[in-house]
Amino acid sequence: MVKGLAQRITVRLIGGMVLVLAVVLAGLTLSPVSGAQGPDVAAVESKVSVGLFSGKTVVRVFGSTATPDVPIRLELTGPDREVKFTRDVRRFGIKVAQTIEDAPQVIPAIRAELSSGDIPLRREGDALEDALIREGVVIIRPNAIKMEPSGLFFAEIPLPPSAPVGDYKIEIFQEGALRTVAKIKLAEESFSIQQQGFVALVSRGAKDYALFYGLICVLVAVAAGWITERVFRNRR
Amino acid sequence: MSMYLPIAEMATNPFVIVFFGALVGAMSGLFGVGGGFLMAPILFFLGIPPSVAVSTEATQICAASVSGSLAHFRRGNLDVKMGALLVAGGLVGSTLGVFTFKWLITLGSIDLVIQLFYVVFLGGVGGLMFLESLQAMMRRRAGKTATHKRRHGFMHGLPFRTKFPRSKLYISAILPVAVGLGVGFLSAIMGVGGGFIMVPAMIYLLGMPTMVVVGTSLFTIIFVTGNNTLQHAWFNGTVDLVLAGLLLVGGVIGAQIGVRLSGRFNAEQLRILLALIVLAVCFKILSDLLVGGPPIQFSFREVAGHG
Repeated sequence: MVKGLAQRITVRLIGGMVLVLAVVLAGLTLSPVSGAQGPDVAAVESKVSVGLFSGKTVVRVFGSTATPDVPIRLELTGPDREVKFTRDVRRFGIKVAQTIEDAPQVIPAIRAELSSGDIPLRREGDALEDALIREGVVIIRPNAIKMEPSGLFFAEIPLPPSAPVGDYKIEIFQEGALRTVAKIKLAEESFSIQQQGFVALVSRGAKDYALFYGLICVLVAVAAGWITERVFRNRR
Repeated sequence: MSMYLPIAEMATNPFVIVFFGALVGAMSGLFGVGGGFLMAPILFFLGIPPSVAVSTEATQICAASVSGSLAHFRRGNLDVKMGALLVAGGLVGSTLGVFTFKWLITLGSIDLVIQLFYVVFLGGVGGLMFLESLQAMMRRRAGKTATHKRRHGFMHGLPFRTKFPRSKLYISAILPVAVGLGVGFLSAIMGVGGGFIMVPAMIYLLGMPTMVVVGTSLFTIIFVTGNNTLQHAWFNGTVDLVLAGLLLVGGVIGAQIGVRLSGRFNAEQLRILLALIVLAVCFKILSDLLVGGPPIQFSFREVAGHG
């Protein structure tokens, strides 16, 4: 363990408009940790719910560190998804997607990396990484963690609208501290995005009662068409 | 404001969807076409997964056809007997289409197939429509009237000849069933009602009088798209009820605007305009196919336990 890195990090997550969360700031009331026994993390239970009128989901992370002069880095990792990377090849003049065989098959559906200070986050020249950044699956924000001289820090991670439901993990590292190469994990927190209310009802219904759901869709369509015709009949 | 689409699993601006729904609805009120061939590409462009876009379009077209064919039914412009045979073929065709769709998803080539279908059919129909209306315009300039020739082709030798009193036809029952089959298949794969194929097929292949064509076509489309909705929801899980609701609201508003606008143009101009729009959409999709995109793409595959 590296001396002088005694941490007290509290992480709190706040979802977008629909919000969320039961936060247990256990760490604050405890007596200071003596020595350098790694990070002292507050217990956090939180979840982000997605309702019908949810706004943009923004995850906010608060914390504090004993060594504000050492830059930190934050990684958010979403639930795994199976993917297929493809490359365009021309066949008979039109482009056809060809699978790239040695590309990863499973990646996090969302990954965000933020830093305080100028820690390089991007791996240069990685074509797969570039594709993920372009599609918004990987979010890279250098210098996006606001670090106060007192050691308090704050960051906002904008999750794209396509952020899927599931479990998300947030890890905070100190990297290259005191010229050591290894990155030191300071804290790890998790939260989950869940659907709620009507949205949850629809997506559960569509999955668990697919036939019934399909019938309802047809019924909605027929009813909507019939009502429209009745309402506008005399105006045509 | 944003609204969450539970099946597409994304938040979207509801006003944008309603706006485009209204735009396409106005066109369908104006031209008498379903507009699915325009709406599906717009939804792709807005970032809705193609499979969800195509399936959800079916729900909207179904609703639009219900109100449209009710109106035609009341005016007596509907050949129910012909429609029933078209529906019989259409249901088989659309079921085959849904399963082909499912099979193409597992192959991973669904997007390419959808795009190729669009290019071939939009190009063909748009081109023919454009030439036809141009000729009609020139004939009128020359002071001649269009003559409708009844050709006697192989289809008049087919068995099961049946009387269709409403259409004043005596043709083989196999013909409407076959037309329905083809239209149903295309409808399921392309996320369209299939009116832009069915209407020409009814006029030129079956020889139906123009007056009953639109009503009967809409009548068939109700059942074909209803079946598509049910099957896509049941087997592919790709119908988004919230997205469908937004499209419905837009479509209702748009159709009313379109109907009011339609009195201000003459039919020939409308047909040329529609042909040009169809060709433009075709050209856009074709150029996307020919011009290379970014060097590496990727797609999320549907995974068990997802969501």
